[in-house]
Amino acid sequence: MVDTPKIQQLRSYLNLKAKITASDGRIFIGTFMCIDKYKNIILSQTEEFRSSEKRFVGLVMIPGKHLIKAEIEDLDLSPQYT
Amino acid sequence: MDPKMDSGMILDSDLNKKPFELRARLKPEQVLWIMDRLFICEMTWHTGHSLSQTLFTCMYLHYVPELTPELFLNTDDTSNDSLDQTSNDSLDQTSNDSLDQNAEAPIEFVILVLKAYVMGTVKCCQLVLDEMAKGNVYEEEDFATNKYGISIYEDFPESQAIKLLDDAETWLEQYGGPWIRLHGDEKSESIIHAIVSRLSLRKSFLLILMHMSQPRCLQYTQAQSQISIAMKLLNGSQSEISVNNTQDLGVEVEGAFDPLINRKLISQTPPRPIRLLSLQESIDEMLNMFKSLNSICEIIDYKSATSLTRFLTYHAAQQPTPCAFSRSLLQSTVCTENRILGKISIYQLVKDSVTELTNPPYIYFASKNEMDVLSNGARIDEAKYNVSKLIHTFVDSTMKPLTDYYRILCHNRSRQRRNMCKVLADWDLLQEESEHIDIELQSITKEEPLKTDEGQSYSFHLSSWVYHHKLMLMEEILFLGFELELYGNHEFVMIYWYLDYLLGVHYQHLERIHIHATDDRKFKKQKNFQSAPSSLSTVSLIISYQTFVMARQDICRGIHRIITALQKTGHFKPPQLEFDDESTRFWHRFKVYRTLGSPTMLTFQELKEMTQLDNISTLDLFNVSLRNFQSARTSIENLLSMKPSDTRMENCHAEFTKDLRAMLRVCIANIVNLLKIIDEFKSISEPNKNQDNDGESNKKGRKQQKQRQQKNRQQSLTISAAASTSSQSQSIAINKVVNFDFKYHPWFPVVTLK
Repeated sequence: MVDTPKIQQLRSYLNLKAKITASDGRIFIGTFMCIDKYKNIILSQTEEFRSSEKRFVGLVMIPGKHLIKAEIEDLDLSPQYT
Repeated sequence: MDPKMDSGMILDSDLNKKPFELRARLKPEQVLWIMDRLFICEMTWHTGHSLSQTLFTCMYLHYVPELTPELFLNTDDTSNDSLDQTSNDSLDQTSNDSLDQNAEAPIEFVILVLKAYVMGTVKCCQLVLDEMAKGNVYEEEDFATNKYGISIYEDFPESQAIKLLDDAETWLEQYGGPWIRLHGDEKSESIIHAIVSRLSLRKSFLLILMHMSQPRCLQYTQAQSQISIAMKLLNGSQSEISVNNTQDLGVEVEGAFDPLINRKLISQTPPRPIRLLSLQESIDEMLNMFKSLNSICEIIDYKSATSLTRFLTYHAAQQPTPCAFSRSLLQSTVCTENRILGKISIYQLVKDSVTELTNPPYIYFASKNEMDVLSNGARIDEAKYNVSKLIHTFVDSTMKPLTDYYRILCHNRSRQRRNMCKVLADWDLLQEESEHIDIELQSITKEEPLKTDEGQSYSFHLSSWVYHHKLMLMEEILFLGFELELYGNHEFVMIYWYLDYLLGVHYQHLERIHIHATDDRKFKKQKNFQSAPSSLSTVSLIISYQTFVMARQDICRGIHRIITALQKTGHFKPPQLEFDDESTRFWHRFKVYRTLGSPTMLTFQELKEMTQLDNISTLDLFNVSLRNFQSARTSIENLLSMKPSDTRMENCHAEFTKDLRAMLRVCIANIVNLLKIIDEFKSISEPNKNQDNDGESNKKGRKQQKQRQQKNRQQSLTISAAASTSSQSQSIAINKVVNFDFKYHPWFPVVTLK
């Protein structure tokens, strides 16, 4: 199995809170569970936000081709999540 | 993005959708449309779709409490004087906005009529959900109970909903009706009728559900009278005010239903494709439900245990399958908290059932009080005490298999078969157990065996009863395979042959019961017991069972023989399957029977030996098969002439007769076809004779000509082979195929050559 520094970095993000922006402007906030070569991302305990509308969607897969931006919480900067 | 996979996506249709306006002042036609659509949604839900795709799509359903006069207070329309009127509870529409055709409809159409209807529907939904919560039918298989966390006004009492419906009806009569007449066109009378009929139907349905949800079946009579009212309202004759006479009057309200509401609800599974029923289909669906409910009300009138069992069997076989709700309700009715039909104890049921079939000595099931009377106040001796103890053990172990069997009959057809296979082992175990009890009872009662040709024979009253039930289950499992289309055509011989065997065993078993039930010596003993059950009813029941089993056996035998014969003539060819092994298939088909203690499992070798029949000519085989169908026909005709009380069919005589008639048709159709086949076969094997019969009938003549032509062609092709008759008969086979048609009875086909 290949184990490059990039992969190691991605692995270190697992189980952290992630904020994904999709191409239609929706934002998903959930726990980062999984990613593959095509940037398909799986989040658990996800909440979906569309402007002010919010709903719980649970375990979701966000197709890589609709991915605009992916953010991961920084444990050092966000002590409120610890 | 894929809208199927992503419920949060914004669709084009979302953008163009007309928003829902709660405050819209609906015209009566519009209210009517919403009512109908809601009704359609409700019945679609009953056919097994989820609430989120049916009832919950109605936007009004989510805002019922907000439908109040206050809702319309702040509307900016000041053109109308109804504002003042709404503040007064009593309305007098006739005077002011009279001649104006476009006058806005009174808000009562929404806040009273529609509100009452929606609330009534919600309450019906609630009562149905309460019943389904008992878990009698498999969730998500027949019925969807997920409420998606949406409140359906659980705290709102049903009586209040009834009151609302009453109010709506009164208002409609006094004010709404006149208003419609004043502002409407020639259709106004029909519209009034339509709304009134729907309101009353809703009220009746709600009342039915309320009555039927009462414990211990106490209010079934009231429910039954409401059912007959509701059925009239639903499907009245031309002149009556009913729903089916007032269709297509509604005017669509855009935005009132949002089929995409399920996108907003959390669900574990993606929504299934759905097609809402049409209004007529919904009416039919509800009618079927009412019929089922009505028959449930009728079985409360308990006649006999056998009759109850038979009713359940026929109810289970109904086509179309009774809806999930009525099946659940039937289960609750038949058995709740160890009470049968809300009043009979299991002990009584088992006692009745055993007594009706095997007529055991009176002492078996005599209660303490009765025994006191019998023994004229003398002490109950130890023997009697032991008998009663043993019987109670028997009843305790019977309880579960018997109620399970009743429950199984309330499931959907495929589930029935599956679960029957599962419980078969329980019955086998019960049989073994009851045999031990029987032996102990024999020693206590000092029963003397009957002398028969095959040696001594003890009565085995209890285990005989169990065995009878087990055999019924075994037969039913195989028969259901035909109905559920589990077997391939080439397996029919095997299955019908096995059924033939099982039914034969069953017949012999009944014969045995018959001998012991009519054992004279027992009556001598019983003479001094007053109110001893007469054995006459037992005898007539056994005779009816025997005739029935025999009829079935004859049909099965006829069918497997005719197929074997056609196999010999080459008309029926089993498919040549590369990965198919007949003996393995045989093993799989009868796997459940392998573990049973009785009857003896037949082997594949036996099947081969029994169905090869090389020593019998094809023509004889046809003739034997013909005789089988003829004797089945006689048996069925005998059964048809029996009284319902003799066959213990009091609760389901109509269905029983229908079943028999279907079997009779199968027999007759097969006899006719067989005669044709035999005729054809004879004409082929004796070609010289056939030329004389030319003028018989046009159709036949043509057929024969065709056959002859083909024969000639064949003959010219293979002159040497054509000399023997056998190859001639096979040459005909080329253009004819066997066809199995289950058009009359789901278990027995009509065999035709086409």
